[in-house]
Amino acid sequence: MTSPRVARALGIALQIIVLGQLLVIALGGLYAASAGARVFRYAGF
Amino acid sequence: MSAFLDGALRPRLGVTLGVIAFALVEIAALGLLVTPDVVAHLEPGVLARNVDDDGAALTHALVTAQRAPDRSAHIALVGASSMREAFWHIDTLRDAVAGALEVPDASALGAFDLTSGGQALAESLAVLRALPETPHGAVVLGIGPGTLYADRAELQARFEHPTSALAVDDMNAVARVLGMPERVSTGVYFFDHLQFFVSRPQVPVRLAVGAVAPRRHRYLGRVQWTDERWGERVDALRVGFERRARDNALVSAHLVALEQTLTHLQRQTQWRPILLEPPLAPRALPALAEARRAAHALVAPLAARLGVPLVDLDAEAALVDEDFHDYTHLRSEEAMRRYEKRLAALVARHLSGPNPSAVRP
Repeated sequence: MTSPRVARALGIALQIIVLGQLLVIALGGLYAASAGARVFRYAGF
Repeated sequence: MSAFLDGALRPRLGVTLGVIAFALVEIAALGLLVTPDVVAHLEPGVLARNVDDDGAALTHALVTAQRAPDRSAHIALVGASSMREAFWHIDTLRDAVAGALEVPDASALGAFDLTSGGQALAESLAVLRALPETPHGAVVLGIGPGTLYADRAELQARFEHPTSALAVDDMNAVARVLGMPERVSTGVYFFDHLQFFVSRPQVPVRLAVGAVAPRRHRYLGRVQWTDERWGERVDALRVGFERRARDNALVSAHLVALEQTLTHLQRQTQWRPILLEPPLAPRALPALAEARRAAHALVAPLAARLGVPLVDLDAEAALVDEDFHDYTHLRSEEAMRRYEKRLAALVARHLSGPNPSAVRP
C-alpha cells in the first residue's frame, strides 16, 4: 500500500507533467499564431 | 487515494514553478533532440500535418538525400506540383534510368523526389544549394513561367513563413539576391525551423499511433477541366503571368539567383543540373504560349552559357489534352509513365555523357 506522502508526491508530479505539457502546447500555439506560421495548402486549380 | 487527488488537483506555488521548469526543460530537450539526423530516421508521414503536406515531405526527402550513402549515381527532381505530377514515382523513374543505363541493379542508383506543391523557384534554388557535394548525379529542376514569374508579396511570405524546413543559410543566400527578408540562424535546427514545427503539433501523436501515408498525386483520375472552367481559368492564368512578368527587377533577380545556384552546383558539387520546362496542355497554348516562350527566352541564354540543358519533353512524350486535368497537371498513370520514360532517358543521357565522373554501367 502506497503511503499518503508518496501518493501526494505522485499526484503533484502528474499535475506538473500535465500542466507543463499543456503550457508547452499553448506556447507553441501562441507562437504559431503570432508569427503567422503556415502550412502550404493545396487550393486546387 | 485522497492524498493522490490532493497532490494532483490542489494548486501550489511549488507546482506552478515546477510546471514552468518542466516546460522550459521540454523546450530545451526539443532543441537538443530534434535534429536533421532524427528527422531523417522518422517515417516520411510522421511530420506531415495531413496526407497532402508537401512541406513535410520535402523536408524529410531533403534530409534523407543529404544522408544517403554514396552510390554509383544519384537522381533528384526539384520543382512544383507540375513536376510532381509529371512522373509516376521516384522509384519507377530510378528503375527506368537504370534500365536506360543498363545498370543491372537499380538500387545502385540513389533517387530523391524533392518536388512539392507550390514550391517557389526561390525554394527550389535553396533545395539545390542544400544537396550534398559529393554524390555524382543529375538533378532536374522544373522551370517555367509558373515559377520564374513570382508575386513579390507571396514570395516574401515564403521567406517569412517557410512551409518546409530548408536551411536558413541556403534560404538567405537566395533571399539576398532576390531582395527578400533574411532570417537569423540560431544554429539549432529546431529553433531555426520553429514555425515549421509548431504548425505540426500532431507529431507526438503520429509517433505514438503511426504516420500517415503521404499522397503523391492530387490529380490522378480527375476529369479534364470543362469548357466553362477553361474559360474562367486560362485567361486568369495568362493575366497573372503577364502581371508577374512585369516585375522586371524580381525576374532579373531570379535569373541571377538561378545562375549563381547552377554555377555553385557545377563548381562545388558533382551534381549535373538539367532545366526542364514542365508539361503544358496543348489546349493552353493559345493563351499561355507567349508566357512560356518569354520565360524560355530569358532562361535559354543563361543555360547555354553554363552548358546546362533546357529541355521541353511535351512533344517527345506525345502529351495531348486528354492527359491533363488542367493546363499543366497530368491526370493519368499512363500519361505519367509515358512522360517518366522520356524523363528517364533524358537523365540517363545526361548521366552517361562526356564527364569524367559519369556513371559507368
